[in-house]
Amino acid sequence: MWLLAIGLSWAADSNPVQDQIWRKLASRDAFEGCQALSALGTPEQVRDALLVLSAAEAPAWVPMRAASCVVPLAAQDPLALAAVRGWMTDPAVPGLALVVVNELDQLPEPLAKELAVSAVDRMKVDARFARRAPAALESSVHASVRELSAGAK
Amino acid sequence: MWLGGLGLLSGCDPEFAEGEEDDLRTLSAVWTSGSDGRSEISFDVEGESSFLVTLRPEAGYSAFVETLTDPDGNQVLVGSDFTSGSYEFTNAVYADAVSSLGWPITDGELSEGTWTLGVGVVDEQLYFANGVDFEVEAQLKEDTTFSEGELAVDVVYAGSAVGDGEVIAAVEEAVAYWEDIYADIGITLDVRYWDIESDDPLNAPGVGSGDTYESIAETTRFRAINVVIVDSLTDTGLFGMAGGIPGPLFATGQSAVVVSASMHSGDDLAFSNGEIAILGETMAHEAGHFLGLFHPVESTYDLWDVLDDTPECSSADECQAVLENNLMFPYPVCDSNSCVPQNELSDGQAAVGNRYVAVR
Ligand SMILES: [Zn+2]
Repeated sequence: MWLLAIGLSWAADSNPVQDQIWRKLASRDAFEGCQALSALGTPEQVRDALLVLSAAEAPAWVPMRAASCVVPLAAQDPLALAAVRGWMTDPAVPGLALVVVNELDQLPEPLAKELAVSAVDRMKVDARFARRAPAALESSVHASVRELSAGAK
Repeated sequence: MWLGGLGLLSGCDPEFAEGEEDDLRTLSAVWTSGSDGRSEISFDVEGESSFLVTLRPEAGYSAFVETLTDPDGNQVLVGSDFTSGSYEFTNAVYADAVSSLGWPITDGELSEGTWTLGVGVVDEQLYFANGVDFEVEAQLKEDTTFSEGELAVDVVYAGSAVGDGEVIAAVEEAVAYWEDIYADIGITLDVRYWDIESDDPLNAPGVGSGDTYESIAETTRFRAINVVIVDSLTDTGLFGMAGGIPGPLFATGQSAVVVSASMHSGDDLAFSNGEIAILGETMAHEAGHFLGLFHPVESTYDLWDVLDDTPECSSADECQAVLENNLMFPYPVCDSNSCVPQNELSDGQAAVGNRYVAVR
């Protein structure tokens, strides 16, 4: 329901910070990285825009890149953490769960491990996710994440 | 014949080994940067219509093109005009581990006679470096027309993309759309598909995984662009990237375009028809960079390509209004759930693409 609500707000309430961030995320080539977004608004404005854009429909990589910029915030920001935990279990967004797995190295190990546990659970029921997630888990800098990955085989 | 003479005159310039591959005349040599970190590299054009020269210094160094001088002694390219200007012409003027210059880029003919490249070699701190070996590889093509041709494309599935039925189906449909886009500029694609065992995930060409890209380029056809399809994400920023503008034909760590299938399938990891179309556009866009095309405007709106027939605009709204359908626009123009087709190229862009030596 929360995702549906922000999805609707993307369509209805576009704003200048969000528009600028959208253009950065929408680049067809490599994107400059999340750091480049911080100059476009206050931390709260950037976070809110990223949360909205993580539910954008098109182009397909905008929600993926938005999510990749939300993940590093999850260690400190309760809204970002709630979003990240939600993506790991929401059956509709295996792509965002894959982004989370890909960005685990940016999180403290206890949180990374918690999310990796969710990833391993998801791999049992989500074939598209299961095909792509192991590569990221196996190469994690966190030993506990690598161990979970090895145990899931 | 002239090479031996030139070697005698300078006393130290190497001779090119000359060959032929896929109807291209090829020249190969290892040069050594001079005392000021610079070298002059001369070679003869013998009736060909365009060339591509690639420079690859030993590890830890970068090379770039400072000048290009035609047989009449005219400097037809001065790199500093572009490194400090508002227009993009070729990335050969920027130092890189692998640097390629195609010529001619826009208009003009390739006159017969001796052409000379002024090359700089720099270290990681961008100081000129003397005594550094660098490979020089040139390919020259004879082409009767720059308005049509055939381009070989080797689509390479790597890592977890190998054998992924959903990805393969989407890529094949996307390639069909890419073929339509390039047909409009007179370029017919000759596409082959390959499966390559590779490290997974891969980095982008020029960023990492250089041995893998070089090995791919050694395996696939010489006169072809490699489009590597990856599926897992190394770096979520990695989505579509070309190994150079223009890219090198001879096998290096940058002799490929990489496209991430996962990023195109979005948050549900399933391809919709719209996402397949955008995947086709991305393949065509990245291959366009490899052929030598820049964005008509960068998304800073203060840097443009040199082409006369791509409008010069200076804000997001203004640029979207005049360029939203252009294949090389830096981002798709979308509303909340769909994007406008980006499948058009100007005559000037078509002419650049047709000059690239892989187009026969
Ligand atoms: Zn581009």
